[in-house]
Amino acid sequence: MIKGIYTVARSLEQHTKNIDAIANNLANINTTGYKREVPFSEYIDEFGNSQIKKITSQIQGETVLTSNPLDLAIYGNGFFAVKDENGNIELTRDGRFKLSTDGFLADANGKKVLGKNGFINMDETMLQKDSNIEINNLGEIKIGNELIDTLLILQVDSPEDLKRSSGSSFVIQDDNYTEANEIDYKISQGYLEQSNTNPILEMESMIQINKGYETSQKVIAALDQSLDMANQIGKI
Amino acid sequence: MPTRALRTAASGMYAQQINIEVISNNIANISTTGFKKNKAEFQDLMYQEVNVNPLSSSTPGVMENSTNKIQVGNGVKPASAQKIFRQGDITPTNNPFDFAIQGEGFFQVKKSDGTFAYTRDGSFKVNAEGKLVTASGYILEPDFTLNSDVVGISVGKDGSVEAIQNDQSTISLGTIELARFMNNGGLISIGDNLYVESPSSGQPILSTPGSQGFGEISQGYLESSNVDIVEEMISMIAAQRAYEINSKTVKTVEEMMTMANNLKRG
Repeated sequence: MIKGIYTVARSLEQHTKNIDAIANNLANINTTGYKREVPFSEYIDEFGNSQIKKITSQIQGETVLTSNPLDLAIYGNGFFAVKDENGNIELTRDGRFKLSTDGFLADANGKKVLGKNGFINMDETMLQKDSNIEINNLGEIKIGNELIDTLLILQVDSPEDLKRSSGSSFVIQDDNYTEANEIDYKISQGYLEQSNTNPILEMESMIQINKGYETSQKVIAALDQSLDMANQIGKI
Repeated sequence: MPTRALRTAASGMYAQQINIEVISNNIANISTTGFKKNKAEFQDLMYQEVNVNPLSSSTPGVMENSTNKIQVGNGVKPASAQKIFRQGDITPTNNPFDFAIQGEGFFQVKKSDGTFAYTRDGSFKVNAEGKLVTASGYILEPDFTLNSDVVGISVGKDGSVEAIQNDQSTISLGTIELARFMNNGGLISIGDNLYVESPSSGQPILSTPGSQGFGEISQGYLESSNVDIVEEMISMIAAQRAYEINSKTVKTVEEMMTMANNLKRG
């Protein structure tokens, strides 16, 4: 019976962690490129070990028009690739790009965006007259008629290995990604992908967690009462 | 105690508050000539890895070296307010010193310190020296001097300026040049409807209006603010609801904490 109390206490703990995930989804309801975290659940695998099933929903978020030439959205599968100062590659769906002070295409945090030929430098072509930055569906960046580079779009085979980092980015261990197939994605210039947090699903999960927590609490109260009765048995 | 969820929800409420502030600034500038709307941008905060102990384990108080880890986020932060350089409506004013740009480009004006600023607000006036100036007194560049014989000016779509003398003859005064940038989003707003260049906007590219990639000038018209009231109202509703839903998180967590407090009887 005491064991029961500990088991239920664990479930309280798990509910608490799940409400953290929901709170984060809701806080990021307006974050560009954010992907919602589905509350985790426990299951027993074929070897009898308990495992945690956690999923980051990679469902397409809504895209909104911004008309900014360096705002990019991906339709379909794939991630933009950016490299931080330490040379680590991060994957992101957040296409709010800008030009860094030295003329490279960079994300909102100043991490440089990767093209198929490395970093994308626009410094020299920036001063040309009569030219706009044009980025087509395949991610080919053109200034005037000159092709600068093509955006590198990456795909991962096992999305469950993606680890979140801040700024709507993901990192993956052992560079476990491949270059995406051109038919799997479409780049839209002047659009941004919104967060895919769905307030209805979040509210539903929140109610479920809240009620689950309440149930566990009631179970503890019931067990506590029974233990109390057990204590009474010895009394004369 | 699940205070992380409380902090996360608080960061969400704060972000929506910033969102409302940006929206209200847009609405306040609905009649500002040449105003370009802002959009608040957000970013998620760092993630933390936490252990999840399996339900089946029952050793009291022991945190097992569980391989089951999940990542929990810490909320959201406001990242920037992005300018949306969409064309505003062109409205007729019949004032010969009002110019609107249809398409890409900015008027170039010289600030009092000699540096240049850029604006879409084409409501110019003539100062005491006969030069075209903005409402804040900055001189349009390249500048034109209108002498006392001039009774009117005529500006073509290509920016060519002609002065009409009092004997009805016209003389050419020059051409208004427009500036454009590779990345308008990188411009810095300094107030008074003015922008200055930054490393991320790139250097200004100057050319005559109507040449490839540049807009045309319409005399006697002004570009209205590009704020769309319906769009702002919808954003405001969304922001208010998002604020509300984050407050629901606070309420739910509060309820859970109350239940936790009631676990022990007596």
